[in-house]
Amino acid sequence: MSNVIRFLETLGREVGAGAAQSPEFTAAAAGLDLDPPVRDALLAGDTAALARLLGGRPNLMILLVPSEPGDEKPDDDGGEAPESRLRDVA
Amino acid sequence: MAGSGRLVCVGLGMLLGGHISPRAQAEIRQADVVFAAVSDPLVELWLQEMHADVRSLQPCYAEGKSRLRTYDEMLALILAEVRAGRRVCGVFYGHPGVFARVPHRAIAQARAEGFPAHMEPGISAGDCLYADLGIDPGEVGCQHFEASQFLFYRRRIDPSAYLVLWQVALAGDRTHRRHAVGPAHRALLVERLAQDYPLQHRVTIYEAATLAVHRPRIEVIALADLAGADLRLQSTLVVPPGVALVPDEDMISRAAELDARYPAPAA
Repeated sequence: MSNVIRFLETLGREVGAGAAQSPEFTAAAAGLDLDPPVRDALLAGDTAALARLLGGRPNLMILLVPSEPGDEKPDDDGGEAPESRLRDVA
Repeated sequence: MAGSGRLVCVGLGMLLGGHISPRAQAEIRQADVVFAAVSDPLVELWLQEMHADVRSLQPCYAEGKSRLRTYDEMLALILAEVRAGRRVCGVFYGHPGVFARVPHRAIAQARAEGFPAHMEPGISAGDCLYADLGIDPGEVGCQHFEASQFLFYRRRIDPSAYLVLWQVALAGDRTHRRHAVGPAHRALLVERLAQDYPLQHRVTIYEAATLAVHRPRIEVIALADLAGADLRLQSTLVVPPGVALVPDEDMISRAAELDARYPAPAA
């Protein structure tokens, strides 16, 4: 397991959320054998940069449930430009 | 006819490393193939280091594609491996059975086809919400609804209990293609909530921490400010009680008569 992933796993198990605010965090993170950009992202709590540096998937979607209960039929995707569907409606 | 395939759906919990159960770890370890729908790229990387064959369900998403079609595709991928006789583990963030219809559908379909299938519970975002906000759902009750369903269907809510609205960033969306709705849609939600709560009622935007370097998001705003609030897909709206519990004097009286007729054991 990569150093930083293992570190995050240990933090999650041993410290919990908000571990970056603990006094031991900076010293522990600084002591890891990491490339400087990865270390900088970790110390800054910049998990988006961390994921990018580690080759994580960009634009990860979370599961969402439809508002209609029960079996749903998927919409017809044909005909409409994909970009227009993702714009917020003012 | 069912072969040797089987399916278990497990949850990783919300916090990387902190919430995964021994049961989930065992099922992942023992699986022939793992399908993953998780909440964070780092969580996906973490899971990939637990098993040699982790297949992300993320490629089922595509810009402009209905999420309903995406979920059908996820289901098909999972069941294809079960039908091929493999021991399949579906891994989801949080609790696999809470606001995640794909695991339930996969298990139901696998069972319908004669394959053993079950779900292992996980720590959900709702569980984190109770802990982080200091809410005991048993104190005055707690109602949970998907935000758009709350708008589209006539729900009778009790303003003397907590109200939790999930997927609030998509409240009012009927396209299943958006990643967020704008202020006009959210104004519908404010209008609906204003039927039961004053516009200055303090509500909380909540997001559970998924990585230990983060804190949960706990942002308290006035209901009137909800339309312009910063909401993300993982945001949840918590509406505390707006009125005190109203006693049902008739029922209390009838229960008192029963207590007198059937006394409780003496201390």
